[in-house]
Amino acid sequence: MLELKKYTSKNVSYRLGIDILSHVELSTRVEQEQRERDFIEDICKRVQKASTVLYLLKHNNDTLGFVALSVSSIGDFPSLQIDYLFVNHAFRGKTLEILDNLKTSTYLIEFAIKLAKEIQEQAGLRYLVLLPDNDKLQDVYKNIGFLNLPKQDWLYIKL
Amino acid sequence: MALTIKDNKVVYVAPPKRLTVKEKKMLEDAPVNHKLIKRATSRKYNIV
Repeated sequence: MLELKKYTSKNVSYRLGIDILSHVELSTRVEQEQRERDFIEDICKRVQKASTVLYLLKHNNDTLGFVALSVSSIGDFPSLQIDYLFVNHAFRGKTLEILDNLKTSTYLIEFAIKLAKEIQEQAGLRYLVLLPDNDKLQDVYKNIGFLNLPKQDWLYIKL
Repeated sequence: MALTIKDNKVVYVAPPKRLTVKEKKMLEDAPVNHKLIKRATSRKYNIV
């Protein structure tokens, strides 16, 4: 069964980072592997502090990836921010039938859009924003539908 | 992503707080991707 397990400061365990790391494959490049490990450990601490909410995408026993979200603003415009989006290395670049033939990253972003639209009905919200980790990811996110401001690395989707 | 690594430590990066008039206008005038939003919002997600 496909599910998004929600972790907030209310239900998170101090072991979340360890649990995630024990169920996913990280990058095969040593430097990138350490970077991902550091980010996962950091984002789980942010969940404990109620600075972000993490949604872990699982299919049966497979952990496909996760997205962590927080409230932010770009300029004066209220925004939902993707703090971190991680895809299990075993599923990177793969379109999956269980995800409506989308890649895990696209599925998680579309989930973030859905949440953003729900929040927008309750409180002011104008954009979904993220900062890609590298230039290659800039193109990946633009292909999904993100736009960018000239001379800014941040990308946005108008809601 | 709002995380990066500086001096071997993970640091949080916030979106720009100060935008130029041109940047604000670009944001205001940006098109809404209705197709993407419709696809995203019409799907049911099993949140547990």
